[in-house]
Amino acid sequence: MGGPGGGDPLALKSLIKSPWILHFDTGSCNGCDIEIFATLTPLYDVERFGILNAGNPKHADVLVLTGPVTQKTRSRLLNLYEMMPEPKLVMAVGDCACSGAPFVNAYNTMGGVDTVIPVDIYVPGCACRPEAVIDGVVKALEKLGKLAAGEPAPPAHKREVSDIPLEVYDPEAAAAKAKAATAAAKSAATKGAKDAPKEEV
Amino acid sequence: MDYLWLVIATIITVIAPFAVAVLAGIDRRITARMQNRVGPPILQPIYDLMKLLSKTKMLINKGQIILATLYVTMSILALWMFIAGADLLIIFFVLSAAAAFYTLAAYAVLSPFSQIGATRELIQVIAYEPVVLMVFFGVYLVNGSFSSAATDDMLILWLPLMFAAMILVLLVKLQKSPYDVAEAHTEIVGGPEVEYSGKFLGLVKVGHWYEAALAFAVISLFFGSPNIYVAFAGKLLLVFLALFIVILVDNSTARLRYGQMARVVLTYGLALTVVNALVVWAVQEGVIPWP
Repeated sequence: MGGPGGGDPLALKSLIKSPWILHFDTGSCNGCDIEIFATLTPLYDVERFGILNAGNPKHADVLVLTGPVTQKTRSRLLNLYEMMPEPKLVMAVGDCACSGAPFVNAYNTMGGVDTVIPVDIYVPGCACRPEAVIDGVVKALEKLGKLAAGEPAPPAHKREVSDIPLEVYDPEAAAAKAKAATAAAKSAATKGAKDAPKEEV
Repeated sequence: MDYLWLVIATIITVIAPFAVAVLAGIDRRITARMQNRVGPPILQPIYDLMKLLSKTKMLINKGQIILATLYVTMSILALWMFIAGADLLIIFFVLSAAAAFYTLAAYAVLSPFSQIGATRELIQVIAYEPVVLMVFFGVYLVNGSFSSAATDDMLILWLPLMFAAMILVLLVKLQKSPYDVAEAHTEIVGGPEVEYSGKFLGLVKVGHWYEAALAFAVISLFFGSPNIYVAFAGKLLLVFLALFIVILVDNSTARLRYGQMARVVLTYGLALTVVNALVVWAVQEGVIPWP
């Protein structure tokens, strides 16, 4: 289920009044992170829209992501995304999170956030200004309003990863591979140990 | 106690969390103004609750949810008993049971944040319960009864130090700095609340509101008058005064460690109540001459 499609109208409507955010850095240079923290300061006072920084995926409604998704953060990002209860929104903040920007096809990144999970709102900028982040949140809430009223709204966007020529890091497969390698090394070692005395004899 | 009053008590118990939600909204607004910003609407806590209750269910294990439900039930029961005019000591034990269920629910999940939060919650209970018990004893000294039914006596004139001790208890109970050690949002991400999500987080929030309602009800006990309108206005004013002091302290202090919390509440808090009780006893026995 991508984006806020899973909720009933009441859930969507009440979400407009109190979107709690979770900020996760998927591999950013910290430029966008600083701008997001600036957005949360009393100067911009986002609490007047009911926005709170939840800091806990189980309490959050909006996942705010900065930076290109590195192979290491991919599994963490999926984990956080699955922990959030529906309905939920995903916001890609900054050029890197939107598209991967200068890191496209780099050996260690997946590209933008939308190569891993569906994204509802893209906020471009390097780094994006707090005004742009607030504008993104307002656009996200407009989308929720449309969905609650039963009007058509753009669906969450998920890019196909097949065209990116890199090996996707799978922790389970990697663990299985490592285990097989250790087992092979061990059996080779025991074989060697058995062989050694024979040679002496 | 007649049946009509029990029905009225039930109605008040149903309305109480909404009143506390409005108080929490006022709290957030005043906090915002103290930080030179606009702040959320007054009804924001109710919007938050509506959102939480309309989200999908996600749970770690059934035990946690059963214990959390028992916690909320016990909190509701404690408030209902208070309004119905039950014995303050029995209310005290029901409240302790609620705290115990909340702690057990926090221990029922494996998250280290929840476990640390549960331990802190226990230390918190150990810290404030003797103070609350002494306050109830003070009410007994003045009223001659442990009944929670409102009397015409102005308790705050007899028990001003106990009122001060109740402010300490309120700081702990409402999770306000410097004593927001159990939830400690920026340190252990919500402590006992960390593993609840969506509907169940909303359920726990309702439990907190009932506990807060009971704390405010104990505060309102300190004002009494033969005139029912004066009594009502005075009680409301006293609750607002206590809330304002709590908000002021919350915004001008940083969180202390849980050990410091226990030390202050168990020494200063308990000393205030004991001194006050001794003075009241001495006056009543004629040890200290009173005009």
